[in-house]
Amino acid sequence: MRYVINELDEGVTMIHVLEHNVFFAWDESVEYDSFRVALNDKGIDAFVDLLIQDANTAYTTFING
Amino acid sequence: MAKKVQYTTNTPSANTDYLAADNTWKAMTGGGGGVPYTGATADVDLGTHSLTADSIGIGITAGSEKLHIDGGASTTRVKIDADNGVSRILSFRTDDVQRWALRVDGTESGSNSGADFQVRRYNDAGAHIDNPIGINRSTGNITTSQNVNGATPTEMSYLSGVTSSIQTQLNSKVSTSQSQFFIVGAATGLNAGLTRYGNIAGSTTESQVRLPLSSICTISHLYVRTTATMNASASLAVTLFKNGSSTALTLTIAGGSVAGTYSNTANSISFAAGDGWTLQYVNAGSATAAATSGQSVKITI
Repeated sequence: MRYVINELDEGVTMIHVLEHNVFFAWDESVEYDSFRVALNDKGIDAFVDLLIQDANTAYTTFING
Repeated sequence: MAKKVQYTTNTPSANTDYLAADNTWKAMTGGGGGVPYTGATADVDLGTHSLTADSIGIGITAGSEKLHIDGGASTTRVKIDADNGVSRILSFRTDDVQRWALRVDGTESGSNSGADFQVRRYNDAGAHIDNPIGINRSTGNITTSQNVNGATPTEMSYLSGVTSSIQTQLNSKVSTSQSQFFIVGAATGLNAGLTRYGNIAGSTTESQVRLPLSSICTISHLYVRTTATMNASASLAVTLFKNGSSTALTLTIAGGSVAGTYSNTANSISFAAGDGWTLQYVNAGSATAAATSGQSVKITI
């Protein structure tokens, strides 16, 4: 298991990439509409791969790539 | 010539004379028992009869104490002897009712077994309560049924097996204490490409802000709270440093992450007294990271 997903309060969802201790969290706001679309298209594993490669660019690459 | 007591009747009385050491006849003023008060010229054997006296001096003239044994310059020993398996007891009493006893008990069967020592206590009616102190003759082990300086027998048994470094072993057996250490954040986030130690606005050199530990402990549960969404081109990595080196207690908040509380509760780092620790903050991105209101760790001693 590379990662766990936790549903937090106030609609926040958090990914924890276990071995690298990289975290990413998003909420239900429109700010993350593009992210949800990309997540639906590419899957969570593709995003986890990007988080492991570079936590600074993963989000941008995921929604624009 | 052997000396003989001269009896006037078959039942000696106060009027019976005996031949004293100076070869003169003296009245046996004690009467009845046939034992002179003074002047015995051989061992006195009462046979199965009892001796009652107000005080007894052995090796010394009897004084105000009920029993005074004086060995003078010689080694002095009082024997309490009995057959194997028979109790040997010194009994302390109130109006002839038992209160305390020093007792040797237990049948001997070789290898130094049996004949163990006990300090026994008794209730107001003289009934045995328990043995606050017992010493096994074979092993020398001391046992107690009661607390010692507030420590229960079970608590004292925690010392069993201690061979060295008592403090270290006690630390592993007694309950631990825990505390939280808080580090205040800043209104602005860490700029792109920067590394800081101690806090977000701290030093660029780890050793300048290293915190020395006074006790053996572990540090775990790293929490970081951001107050704004992380720029998509930034990140914030917070890492516990031990003696100048990074540890597994770390977390990275990726770019684009919503404001919130992030934590690593999976890793725990051990420290010895004298070790030093601090937190490292790294923004490896190309934009300013989100501001943090603070960080905390749990310190378990």
